[in-house]
Amino acid sequence: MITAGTELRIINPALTIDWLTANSTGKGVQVAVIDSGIDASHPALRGKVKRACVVHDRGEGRIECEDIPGEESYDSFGHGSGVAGIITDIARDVELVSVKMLGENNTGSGAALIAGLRWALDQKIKLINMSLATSKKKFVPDLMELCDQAYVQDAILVVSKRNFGDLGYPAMFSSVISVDAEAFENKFGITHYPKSMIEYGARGENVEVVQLNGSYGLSSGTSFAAPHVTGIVALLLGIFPEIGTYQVKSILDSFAGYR
Amino acid sequence: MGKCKQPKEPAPSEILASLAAYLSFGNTLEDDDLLRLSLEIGVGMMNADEGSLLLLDRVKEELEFMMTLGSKESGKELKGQRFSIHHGITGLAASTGEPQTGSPSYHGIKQPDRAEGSRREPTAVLAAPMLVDDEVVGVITAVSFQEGKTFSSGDVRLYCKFANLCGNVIRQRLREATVRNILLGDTVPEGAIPEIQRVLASQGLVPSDRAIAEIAANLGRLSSGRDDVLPICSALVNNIVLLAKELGWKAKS
Repeated sequence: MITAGTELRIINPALTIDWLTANSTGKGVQVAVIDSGIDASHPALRGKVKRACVVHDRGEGRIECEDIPGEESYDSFGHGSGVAGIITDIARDVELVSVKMLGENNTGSGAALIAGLRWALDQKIKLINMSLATSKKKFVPDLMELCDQAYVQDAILVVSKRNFGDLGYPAMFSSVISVDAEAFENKFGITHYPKSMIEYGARGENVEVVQLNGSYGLSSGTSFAAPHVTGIVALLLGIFPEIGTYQVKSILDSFAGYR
Repeated sequence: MGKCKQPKEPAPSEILASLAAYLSFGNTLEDDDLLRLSLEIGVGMMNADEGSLLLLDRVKEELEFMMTLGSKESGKELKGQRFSIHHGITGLAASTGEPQTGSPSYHGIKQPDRAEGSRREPTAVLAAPMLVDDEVVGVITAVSFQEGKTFSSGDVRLYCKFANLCGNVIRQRLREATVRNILLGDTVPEGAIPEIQRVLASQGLVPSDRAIAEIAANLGRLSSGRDDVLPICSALVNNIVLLAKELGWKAKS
């Protein structure tokens, strides 16, 4: 049987991870990180955060996104910085856009997650990483609508599944690229699960990540697997800026098994 | 001749209600012992050196240390301490409802620059949210000081399951205590409410539990001194339940 992935290899056998890393740095690609913010002052991320927005939960259903200069971007927990550091480690020339919806001023609620995603889509950002998920069904209709909108407008959403319990939303939607954690050593390692709602596996155990106050540390979990895939997609977009989710999935399928 | 005022004796129905409440909800294990036992099992399962159990005050968006295991010194210092859920690995676990792992920070990306684990700095930390019906009620942590120790994804999954079990046990304590108070007419003075219940009270009681307890308490009051009224009240409740079922209302239990 010829799958979409093998088909692409037949068309272009040269399209491999090795070729991609040799020919792309993600230059010109904007990547939104919807998370706890990005510490723009960290040595590993300095100069890389081009824009930032802070989602404020004002209560009584009022949620607002406040633009702040990229260099003033900050992080409450270090989680978003960890995610951003993985992306720039793989695609060093991407432009980061921080969408802070977790930490002070916002409670990390599903409503804040939706507001952050809506903002990123309104800004026409091509690639979005969401290492967050909700299990609350009341947010599903809005999240699904936004993820469908992203698919239609060729924005690519890379999301992590939950670490425990159900898979979580939006990881269960077919409109996104969903990622689970694997114990790979190689940061470009990728697995394809053709019969699962979570389609890909990437490095997510004992990953060296950026932490607050200019430091680094080791972390594990699906949150840190998704940005590995986001980084690879950023490399692809650096060369093929017009491709959408479907094409990206086909190419990722062909990369599966890379260690 | 003046009528002599007799002290009011509890009606048999009141005594029965109190006994039923005690038999149903009387705990043989103190809150502290329950928390310590839970934490000892968790820390042992993870082959960790220390651990802590924190409950979420949802109103103030704070976590409070309820029990710590490990160094007696740090335990004394930490118990009762509160901090915002918007900071740290434990706060992140509470904010996201997702388990979080951590390790010592180091200031160079090269492995040799990494700070070595010591008694002062843990080598691995795991924070698992305690979830009940997908709502965070608290966080349980496991901390290791063993050189080279990391928590695997298998450890994380197991600790999450354990955390959920703890969450359900603790939440059940709150339900029992609150229902018992309602049954006994909220006679427990504010100062006598254990800390664990006070913190968890911010998370509220399941509305159906409160409704059922209030129905039972009101039944007791209605029938007070008139035991012949009790069967009528009981029949009334049965009618309400039947009607509710007909209308599609689903009780939790």
